[in-house]
Amino acid sequence: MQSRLKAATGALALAGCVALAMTGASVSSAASPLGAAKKATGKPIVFGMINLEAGPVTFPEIRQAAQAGISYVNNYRGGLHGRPIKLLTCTTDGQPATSARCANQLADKGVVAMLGAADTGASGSYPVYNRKKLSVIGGLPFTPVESNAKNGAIFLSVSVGDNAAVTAYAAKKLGAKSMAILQASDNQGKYSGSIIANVAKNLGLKTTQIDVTSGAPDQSAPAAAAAGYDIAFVETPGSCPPVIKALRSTGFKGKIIGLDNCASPPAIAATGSVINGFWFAQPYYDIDANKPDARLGAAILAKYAPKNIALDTLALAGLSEVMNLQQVSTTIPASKLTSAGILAAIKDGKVHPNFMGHPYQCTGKMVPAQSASCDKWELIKAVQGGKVVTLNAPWTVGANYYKP
Amino acid sequence: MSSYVLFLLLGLGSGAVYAILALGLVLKYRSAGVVDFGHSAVAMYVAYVYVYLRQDGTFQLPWPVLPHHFSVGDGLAVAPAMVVSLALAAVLGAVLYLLVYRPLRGATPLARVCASVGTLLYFQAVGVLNYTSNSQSTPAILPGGSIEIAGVTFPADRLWFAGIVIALAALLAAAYHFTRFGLATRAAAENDRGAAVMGISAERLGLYNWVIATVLAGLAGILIAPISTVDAATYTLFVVPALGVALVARFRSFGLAALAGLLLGMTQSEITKLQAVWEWLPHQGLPDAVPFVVIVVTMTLLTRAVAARGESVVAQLPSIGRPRAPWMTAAGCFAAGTVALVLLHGSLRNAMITSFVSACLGFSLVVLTGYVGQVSLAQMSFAGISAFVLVHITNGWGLGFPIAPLVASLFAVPLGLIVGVPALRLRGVNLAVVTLAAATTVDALVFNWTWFTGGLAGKDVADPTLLGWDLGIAKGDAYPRVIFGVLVLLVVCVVGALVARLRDSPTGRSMIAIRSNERAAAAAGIRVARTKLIAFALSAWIAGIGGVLLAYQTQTVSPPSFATFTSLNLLAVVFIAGIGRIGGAAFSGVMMAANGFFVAFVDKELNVGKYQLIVAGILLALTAIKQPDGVAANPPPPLVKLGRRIEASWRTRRRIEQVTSS
Repeated sequence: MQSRLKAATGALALAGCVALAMTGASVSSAASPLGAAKKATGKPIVFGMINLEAGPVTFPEIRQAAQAGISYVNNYRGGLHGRPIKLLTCTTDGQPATSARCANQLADKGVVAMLGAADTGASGSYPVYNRKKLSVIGGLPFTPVESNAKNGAIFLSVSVGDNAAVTAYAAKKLGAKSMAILQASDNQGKYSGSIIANVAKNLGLKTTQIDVTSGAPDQSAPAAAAAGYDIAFVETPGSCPPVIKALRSTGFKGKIIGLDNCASPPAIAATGSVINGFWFAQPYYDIDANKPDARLGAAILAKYAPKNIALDTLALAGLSEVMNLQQVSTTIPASKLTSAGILAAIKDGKVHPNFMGHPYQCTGKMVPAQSASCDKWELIKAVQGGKVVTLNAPWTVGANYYKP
Repeated sequence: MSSYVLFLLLGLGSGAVYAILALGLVLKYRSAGVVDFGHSAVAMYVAYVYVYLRQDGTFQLPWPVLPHHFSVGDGLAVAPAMVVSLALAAVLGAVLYLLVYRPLRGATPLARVCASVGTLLYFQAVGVLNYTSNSQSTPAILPGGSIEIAGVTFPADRLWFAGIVIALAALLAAAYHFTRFGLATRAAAENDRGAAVMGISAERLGLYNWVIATVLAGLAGILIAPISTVDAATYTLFVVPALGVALVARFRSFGLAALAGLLLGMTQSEITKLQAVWEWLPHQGLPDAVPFVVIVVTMTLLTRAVAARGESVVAQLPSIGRPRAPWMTAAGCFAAGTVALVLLHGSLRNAMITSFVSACLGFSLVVLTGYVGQVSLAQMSFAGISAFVLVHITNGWGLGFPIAPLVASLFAVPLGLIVGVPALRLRGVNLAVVTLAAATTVDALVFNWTWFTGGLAGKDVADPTLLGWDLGIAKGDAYPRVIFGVLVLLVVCVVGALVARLRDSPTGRSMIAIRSNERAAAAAGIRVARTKLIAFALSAWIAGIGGVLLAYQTQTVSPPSFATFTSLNLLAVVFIAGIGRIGGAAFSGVMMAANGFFVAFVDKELNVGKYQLIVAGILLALTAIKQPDGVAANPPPPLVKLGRRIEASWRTRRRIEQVTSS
C-alpha cells in the first residue's frame, strides 16, 4: 500500500526551485513578499502532527513546510492572536499501531489540535483523536478514514478531486471514448481505481481496470494490456516513469493521463521525451506562478525550510494548512482557539481563502465520499517540451461525476 | 505471433530482475551458507547512489547523522557513476562480511537469517533517511527503443537484460566449475577444515565471494533502475521472489536460478494476459500469489520427507529455558503487570498493553522456533486472519466475548497447518523462505480482499463485554482503561504459563527432540510430522490470540498491521530477546516491540522514532553475532542480581512459612 501513497507527490519542483532561489535572493530587499515583522509572544499554542517519516515510504517535506509556515506566522503574522504556535511531532511508520501510539503520546502532551500530514496509519490514530476530542486541521486524505473524519477539515482532495478532474478533461477536451486504468494491485490502487472507473463510466467512457503488480519490477505486461484504448490513466504513484515508458515501448498509441507525481522533475527526467503530452490535475498554483500567494509561499520556504526540501504537492499542503489556520484564527476571538472552536470556524460553511489553492468551503458535501474535504477545484496541467505547463483554463471540477 | 507468446516475452524484464538477484543469493549461500534477506536492500542502496550520481553528482555513504554527504560534480555519465557505485558495493560487501557474516560462520541458520534481516532493516532505513522515500527512476542504460516482431511491439532493453542475466549465469557456473578459485570455494563450502589443510583459507574465500555477490547485487540494482523505480519499499520486496527462485535452484545452481527467475517473470506476465481474457479470474494479487503457490508446492513435493544424515543436525541452536513454577511466575507477572497498568497513564499505559499483546505474539514463536526449531515468517498473517475473522463473527454471526475471540483465534489454525505442511519436508532457511512466500500470498490474496478486511479503512471491532460489563479499552473519556489492560494481561499470562507447561509435557519433549535431531527423534518413535503440525497449529492459535487482542486494543483492524514485513520484525525482536524462552518473548514485548513500553517511553521523551529501524537492524545483527541465545538467556548483571535477591527472599519466606506450619 505504501508505495501508492506517493499519490500526491507533485510536479512543482524544478521550476519552483529556480523560482525559490530567485525569490530567496530577493527576500532581503525592501519589496519582500514576507512583509513587515510582527513577532508572537506569550504562552505558545501547541499543535501536534503525526507524519510518515519512518519505514519504507516517508514524506518529511510536509512537516518541514508546515514548520516553515509556523516560523513565518510566528515572526511575521504575530502567531495566533499574538501567541506563537508550537508544533510537537511524532514519527509514524504508517502502521496503525504506531500512529495510535503517536496520537496517544501527543494527546498526553496536551496539544490543542492536530495539524494534518501524511498518516497512512490513520485507522489507528483517528479513534484516539475522536476519544480525545482533537480536531485535525488540513493534511492529506490518503485513506477513507481521514477523508470522512467528522473532526477533520482538509483543504484539498486527493484520489477523488484530482483523478476526477483529469478524467473529465480527457472525456470532454481530449475526446476520449475509452480508458484503460492502470492501477496498483493493492488496497490503495483498488480504491483509487474504482473512483476513476466510476467517474469514467458516468462520463460515458468504456473502461477497463488493469492491475499493476506492485511486486513486479517490469510493468510491460500490464502496459501491453492497455493496447487499443484511447486513454491510459496511470494510477501507479510508485512507478510512473516505468509504466509510461512501458506504455510507449509496447506500442500504446493513445493519450496518457494520470497522477501529478508522474510529472515531478525527477519523473520527467527519468521518463524522457515520452512524457510530453501527459495530462494531470493539481490543487495548487505552481510555486513560480505570478500570484501573490505563490510569491509569498516561495519566500517562506526559502527563508525557513531546509534547502533540500522536496517541493511537491505535499509540501505545499503542509504550508497551506498553517497559513489557512492563521487566516481563520483572525475570524474568531482568542477564547475560541480550541480544538472545537478552530474546527467550527473552518467548517462554518462559508467560503474561505485557501493559500495557493482555490478558496475552500466546508459543507460536508463538497467532494463525494470525502466529507472532510473542503475543496474540489483543480488546475489541469500538462508536460510540454519536458516542462510542466498550466493549461490556459480556469479552475476545474470533476468530482461531481463521482457517484459512489 | 500470438498475443499469449507476446506476454510471455514481456515477462522477461521482471524475470531478469528476479534471476539476477537470485544469482547473488546463490553465490552468497554457496560461499558463506547465508540466505541473505538483505540482498536487495543493499541493491537498493547502490541503485540510489547510482541514480543520484547521475542526477546531481551527490554521493552518500550508508549511515545517517554523521557526515556522509559528498558532491562529486554536477552529475556523472553512466560509466563513471556505475564504477563509483559498484566500488561502493564492493566495499559494502567486504565490510558486511567482515563485521557480520564472518563471525557467523559457525552460527545457526536462524542466527544468520536474523543477521541478514538486520542488514535489511538497516539499509532500508538508511536509504529512506539519506535519500527520502520518493521513487526515483533513471534513463535507460541498455539499448532502448522498441522492436517489432510479427506485428507486435516489444521493448528491446528487456531482451538485452535477459541476455545479460543468462550470460552472467553461464559465466558464474563456468567460473565455479572450472577455475581454481571456484573449485576452492566449493571445497571450502563443503569442508572448511579440510580446505584449510589444503592451504585454502575459507574466510578469505568467503570474503572474496561476498564482495563479488554484493557487486552483483549492486549491478542488479543499477540495471533494474531504468526498468523499475528505485524506492526503499519496492526494491527491498524484490528479495521475496528472488528467494523463491533461489530456493528452486536449491541455492546451488546458477543456471537453474536464471531459468527459474525468467520463468517466474513470464508466468506473472501471462497471468496478466489471462486476467484480461478470463474476466472471472480474481484480479487482486493473482500475479503476486500464484507463482509462490507453485514454488511452495513444487519444493514441498521435491524435497525428502526425512532429513538426510547430518542434514538436520546443526552445531548450535539457541538455548531454551526450563521454566520453573510456571503458574507462580504467571501469577507474579500478572500482579506486577497490574501494578504497572495502574501506575501508568495515557500513552504509556497503552504502550504497556501493546507490550502484553506483543509478548503473546512472541510466545507463538517460542513454541515454533524455540521448541521445534522451525523458522516461520508468517506469524502476523496468522494474527491477521484471526483479527479480521473476529470482526466478521462478531458483526455477522452475533457472537460475543469470550466465544468470539476464542473461535476467531482458532481460525488461524487451518492456515497454520497449511503453512506447516511444507515444514514436513523443508527445514531451516528453506522453510523460512517458504513461510515468507506464504505470508506474501496471504497479503496479496486475503489482506487485499476488501470485503474481508475493509480495504484502506479497515474494519471496526466491537468492544468486549461480559454479562453486560464493558471490558473495552475505551469508555466515554476513559482511555486506555485499566480493566482492558488487566484482561489482556490475564490472557497473556495464561498463554505464557501454558507455553511453559508445554515445555515439560510429552508433546513438548517430542518437540525438543525433533529440534535437536529429526532422524534420532524419528528413530526413537516420535511422530515427527504429527508433532511438527501440532507445533504449527499451536503457534498459529497463539498468534491468533495475539491478533484478536490487538484488534480489541486498536478497535479498528486494517491490513497494514499484518503485512509481510511485520512478521520479519516480530521474529527479529523475539530473536534478540531470546526465542527459546518465555522470558524472551515477554522481554521483547516490553523492551523491544515497535510500539511497546520502552520504545514508546524513549520516543515520547526524545522523539527519535525515525531512527528506530536503524537501531533495530544493528541490534539484531549484533545479537546474532554476540548473543545468539538472546538477551533473556544472559540478562544484564544488575537485573540478574535483583532477580536473585527476590528469589532468595521468596525462598526464605517460604521456608519460614513451612517451618511455622509444621
